[in-house]
Amino acid sequence: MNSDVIIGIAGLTLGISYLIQSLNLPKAFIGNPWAPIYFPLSLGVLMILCSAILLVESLRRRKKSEKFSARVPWFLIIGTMSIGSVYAVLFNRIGFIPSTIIFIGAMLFLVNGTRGWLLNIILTVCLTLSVWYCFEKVLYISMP
Amino acid sequence: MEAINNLLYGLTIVAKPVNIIFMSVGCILGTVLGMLPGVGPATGVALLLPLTFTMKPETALITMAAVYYGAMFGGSRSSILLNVPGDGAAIASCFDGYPMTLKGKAESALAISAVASFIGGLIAAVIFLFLAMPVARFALRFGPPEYFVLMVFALSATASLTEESPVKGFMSLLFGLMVTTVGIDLQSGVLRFTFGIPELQTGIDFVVVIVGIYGIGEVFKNYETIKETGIYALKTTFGRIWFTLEEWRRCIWPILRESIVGFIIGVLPGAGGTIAAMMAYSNEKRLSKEPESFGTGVPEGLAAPEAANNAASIGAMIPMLTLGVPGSGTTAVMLGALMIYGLQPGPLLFEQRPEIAWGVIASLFVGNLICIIINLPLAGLLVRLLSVPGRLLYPLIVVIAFFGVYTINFSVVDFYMLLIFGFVGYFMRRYKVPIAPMVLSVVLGSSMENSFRQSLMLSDGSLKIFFRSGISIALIILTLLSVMWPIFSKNIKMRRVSTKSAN
Repeated sequence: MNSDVIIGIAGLTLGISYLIQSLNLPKAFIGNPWAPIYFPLSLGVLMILCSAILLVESLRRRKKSEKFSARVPWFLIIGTMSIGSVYAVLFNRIGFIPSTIIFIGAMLFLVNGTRGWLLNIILTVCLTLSVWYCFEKVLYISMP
Repeated sequence: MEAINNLLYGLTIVAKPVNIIFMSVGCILGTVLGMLPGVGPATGVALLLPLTFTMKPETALITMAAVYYGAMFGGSRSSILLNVPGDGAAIASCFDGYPMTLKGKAESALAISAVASFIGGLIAAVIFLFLAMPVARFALRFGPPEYFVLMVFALSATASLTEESPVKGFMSLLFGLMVTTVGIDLQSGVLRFTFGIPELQTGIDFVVVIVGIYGIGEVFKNYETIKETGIYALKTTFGRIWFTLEEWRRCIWPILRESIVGFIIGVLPGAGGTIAAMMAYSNEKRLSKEPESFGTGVPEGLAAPEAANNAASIGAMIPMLTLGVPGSGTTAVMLGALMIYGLQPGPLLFEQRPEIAWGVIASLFVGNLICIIINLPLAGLLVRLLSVPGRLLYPLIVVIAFFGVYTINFSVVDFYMLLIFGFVGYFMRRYKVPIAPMVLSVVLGSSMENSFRQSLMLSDGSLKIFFRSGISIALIILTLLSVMWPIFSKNIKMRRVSTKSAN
């Protein structure tokens, strides 16, 4: 499938679901009851229109699916998203320093690999402590 | 005379040690970010955005502007030495910059590009200085309907003048506007698209969206080529970085001409440094007596795009500062920085907070001087950074992005948002959906809806209010033209192709 078709389908799905949600929005108690709805409604309609144009254009051109120069780096992307999410969960529970050490360390080991383990560890500790110092002592922001 | 007085006043602001220090940091950071392939000025400014909470507004804006034009200086370093452009605006600098290196003239190329950028920046700053007040005064005539139409024009022009497909540009724009509708509607108190999540009631902070799209999205995109970065065999020892009199003679007119072209293109919404540099290159090639020599390492082929892209980056700040409407992704982020302080950019900024407006304008003169100092004697030192592997750089950008967004609301919900928008940003890049229209609409969306509804309140719900003044009618015509432009240009191109094939 060529990329325009994918974007067209994604846009169409987003546009339709946004439009339905807009129609279900609560009405305003004061003034024109439809006032908070007009703007989102027109956005939904326009998104559906643009997606349809893109889809029709790309199907008419019948462009073959293009070759991307590189594959989606799923491993690194999902790895980063998981590490980030775990950080969000741990941040308030175990405190800034331990959670940040885990976060930075995991990010470096994920992307830089295990071969540079010493550099990873040094960077993790130095960065965590310097960020903590910046927040607590320079910006006076109390960290969990 | 008024302009000179304002410049002198601005210089007193810039001369404060804190501003000089941050501006120098911004210039260095910009040069480095511009130099590193895959990380552009928008990412740099986006990562800086949360930090601006700790600065005075004028310092924040001066620093961001320095990152922006610093990147224009830096972008050409890797174009010249490696044939790998640091960012889009430096692509045209590869055409003749790299062949010069192959001919053993790397020193001349580095010097020519830095001096061309400097002159381009200086010329643009002078025009900016004289144009700022008249444009700001003109903008005082704008009421809510005119502002609404102006924003519609800026957004539609950004979407339709994009280098990728204009339809995708409009989709990107609409998506950005959709993001701004999340949260409490301030005029009626109605909750919109919060899906029962209390944190969404105050809306999605545009800083999180911008840092996610530019910072994390760019890192995800760079993951694709992570094995190739930092492995360049690079020349790091140089002779005297300067050029000959003959080279100077060849370059000076192209620099002067293309600085003005670059400035004008920069002012237009949507067309940024990349288009300016490309246009400058093709202009000079057309004007040259030996167009066939372009691409073989002629100095004017490098000087023209370099002058133009720096002039464009400064030109792009005019609509942002004087009208409060940005025309590019990077200036949209800068506008966001002003909005964080509750400041309304636009004509009133010059009256109410002259230190910000004139401080930024005066900083363009000093900053360009700092950039040329960084880029001439320190070039050899800075290009060593090109050998920093992406394996170390990208995780650190992710970490900086996380800490940056935490300072906005001190909420971990923003971490999730950051990751979601990073993911979206990656796929937008991969499927060639332009990013700038979305960023612009995320920053402008709320004020656009507000001015739309204020106008309707003024007119008792009648849409005729948008056709009452000459300014809004002119802007509506411009908007229509910008929407029609892709269709016209497609037809013109097709006609050209068919006449060529007929011949």
